[in-house]
Amino acid sequence: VSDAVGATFAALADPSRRRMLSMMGGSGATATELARQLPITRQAVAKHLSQLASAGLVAPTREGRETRYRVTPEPLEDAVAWIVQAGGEWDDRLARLGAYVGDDRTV
Amino acid sequence: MADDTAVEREITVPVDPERAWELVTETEHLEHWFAEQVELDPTPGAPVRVVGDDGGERHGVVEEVDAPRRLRFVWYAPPDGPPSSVEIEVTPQEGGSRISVVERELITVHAVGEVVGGGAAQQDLFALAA
Repeated sequence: VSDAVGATFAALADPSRRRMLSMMGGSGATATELARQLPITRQAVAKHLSQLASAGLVAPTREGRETRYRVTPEPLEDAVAWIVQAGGEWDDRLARLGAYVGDDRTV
Repeated sequence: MADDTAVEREITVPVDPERAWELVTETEHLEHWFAEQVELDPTPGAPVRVVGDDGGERHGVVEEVDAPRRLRFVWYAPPDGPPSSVEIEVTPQEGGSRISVVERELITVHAVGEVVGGGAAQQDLFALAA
């Protein structure tokens, strides 16, 4: 048990990895998609993803030439669940804000 | 965990910072994007009440206001959701303004379910929001 908890902590200790988890949402993401939105290289993203996968926080599935990673469906650790939830809420809010401002440039 | 549990997001909008500030502090605008019902007065100590389209409620209090640049409030989902702080910043940008948001969980929950910090902060928040 302590090994598994240790691996979870180590995986979550890094802000880039937490950010990546919050960006995966329901449909998951590939290393290329994540690298596009983060200030780190695709290679660095791939390394983070393999650490998240070893900790059991994400699961890889093959998709053509790429690998798609999804947050594992097992009961999420509280911290991860919070990040995924709060991140998803802000994605929705800011998307609505963008649409609102775009709809009415006079606001 | 030593690090904050936090999410960061931002958006650039084609309006000047004063307008952007109105978008993030005025109920009339907030109810178009933030949530269905929003009670928020950009004054330190003012109560915050937000009702989402799913009926979920959040209660909180405004902590810091530096108009037209920065707004911070803390909130939680009653009765005992984990409190978090939300900091919204408006920065002028060419052709518009950048609105950035950082939400931080104030209680860090240990992977094995043990609360390792923030208990006092949550009690204070509950007292303020009651």
